Amino acid sequence: MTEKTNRSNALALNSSYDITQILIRIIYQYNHKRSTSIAIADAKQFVKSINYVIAHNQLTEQSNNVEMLYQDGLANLESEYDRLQTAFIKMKNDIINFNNIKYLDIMTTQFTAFFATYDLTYKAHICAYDLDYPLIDGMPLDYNMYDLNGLDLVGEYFKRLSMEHQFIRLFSKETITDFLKTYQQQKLIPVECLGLNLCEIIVIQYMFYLLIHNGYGLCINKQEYSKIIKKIKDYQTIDNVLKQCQLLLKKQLPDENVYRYILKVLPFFKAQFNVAYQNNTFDQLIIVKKDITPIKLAFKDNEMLSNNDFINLIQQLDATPSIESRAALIKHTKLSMIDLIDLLNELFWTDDEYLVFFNSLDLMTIAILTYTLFKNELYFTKLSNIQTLFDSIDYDWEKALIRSINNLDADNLTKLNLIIEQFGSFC
Amino acid sequence: MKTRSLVFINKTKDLGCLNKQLTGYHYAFSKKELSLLKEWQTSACQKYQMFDFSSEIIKLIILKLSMSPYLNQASFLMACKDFIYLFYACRKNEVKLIYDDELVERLYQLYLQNNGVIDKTLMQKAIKSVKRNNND
Repeated sequence: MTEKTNRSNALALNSSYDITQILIRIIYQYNHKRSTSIAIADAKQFVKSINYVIAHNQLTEQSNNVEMLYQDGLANLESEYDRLQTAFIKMKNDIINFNNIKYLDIMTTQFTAFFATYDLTYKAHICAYDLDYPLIDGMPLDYNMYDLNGLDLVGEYFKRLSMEHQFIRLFSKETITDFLKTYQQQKLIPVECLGLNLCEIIVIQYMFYLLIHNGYGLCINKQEYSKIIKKIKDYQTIDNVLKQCQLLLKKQLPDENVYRYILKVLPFFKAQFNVAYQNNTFDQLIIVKKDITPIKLAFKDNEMLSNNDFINLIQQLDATPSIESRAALIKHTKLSMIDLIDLLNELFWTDDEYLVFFNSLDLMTIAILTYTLFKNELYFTKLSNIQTLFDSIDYDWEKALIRSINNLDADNLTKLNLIIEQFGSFC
Repeated sequence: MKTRSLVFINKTKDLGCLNKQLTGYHYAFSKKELSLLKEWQTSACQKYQMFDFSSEIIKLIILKLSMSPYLNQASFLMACKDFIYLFYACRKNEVKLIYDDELVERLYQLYLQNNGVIDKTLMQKAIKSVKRNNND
């Protein structure tokens, strides 16, 4: 790439290099031979575009025929464009289940729009898109867009992104989904949030995983976490740990290029590791899966809370900061189903807080809530299609309940369905 | 960006045969005057941020103005200069492209309506007419 850029500069400065004829042809093509004049801004764009195309010629012999250089550059760019587009379609068909705004924007909007609008004749040197999903070593903007532009820039970014894809695809889809769920719970950062690189968080977790395991996994539980900490202490110095991590990573990554690329995370990882090592805060760095025991609510059938108790409960809940403690408080207070529904109506939690709360409930409680709320609707709608009710409901917590049902895996969904069907047959 | 390709083709050669075409109208240009015309074209382009790769427009303007009843040998050169500026001012301001000869013809008609005076009023009228025409 750098060679090409240098060649481009050399050509642009070369006094024997005259692109006037090509420029005139392009101007006529642009204004349909209506005028010999054109806005100077447009003319400058055309000159840059022509220089860019010529810089992409691969003619081995020194040629002074600018037209030949231009045509060869054009043919090379066209074939590169086709190659990239095909590779992108392939990647898009195998998109990672990573619900991040910037990642989805890159995959569904920016690349597609670039390929649809890329103009080899007038604006070959322009890529009008930000390419702002950060890669493992940051955004292209941090590196002055790699000193590239046009198709070269998109090609370089795509090359890096596809190496990240190649790495992530080493893990099963379930592993990634499970890891992201745990990551969100521990870090309290939704993956939708901006500025997150999936590859980076996976590779850091994977290096710790490799210290005690082989193969491709990311799930670390409490016992494994203790083992990892012990192992880190056994290595004595930070450099020893990092060297070991690198070695293990190299064994697991079949492609040398991908391995070299993934190592770009090392400076960042080293800095984080240093802090964790000095303050003994590896629990911030390693994502540990908690053993979650679902909360089973003890419902009372007939007895409702008194008004004072109900208000007290709401006040206590407001004063409790974490959603986990709030869920525990609700668990310990004996509520009737009507109390629970009243309570959820009164609370002002965020969508994510509701979601965490419902995720922590056991299936029976979810089933009772769902049946109470959507008894009539469930005659006509299957539980697996419960999302269709989304628009017809008002309360945020009801929507969160539907989202939590949607997030259930196939097994739990079948169980929930069975429980609800049994309720139906009792009534 | 000052690349070689954006420098004008500063040749007066393509204006050489102009005097032959003008003989019927009793006008003629010296070499110096021809290069002056070329310079004015360049400076008009610079003023209105335009780029022109040919001197064809000078030829069109001169041939059109040679039919003007308001001009003589003494005033002809300066009228050409003003008309060149008028042309590029309109080119810059129009949204949709009109053919060069069509635009020169339109400007010439406005010039006749303005009694052969090329001034601010004519320029405003001309720009307005080009814009209004685009909205139609």
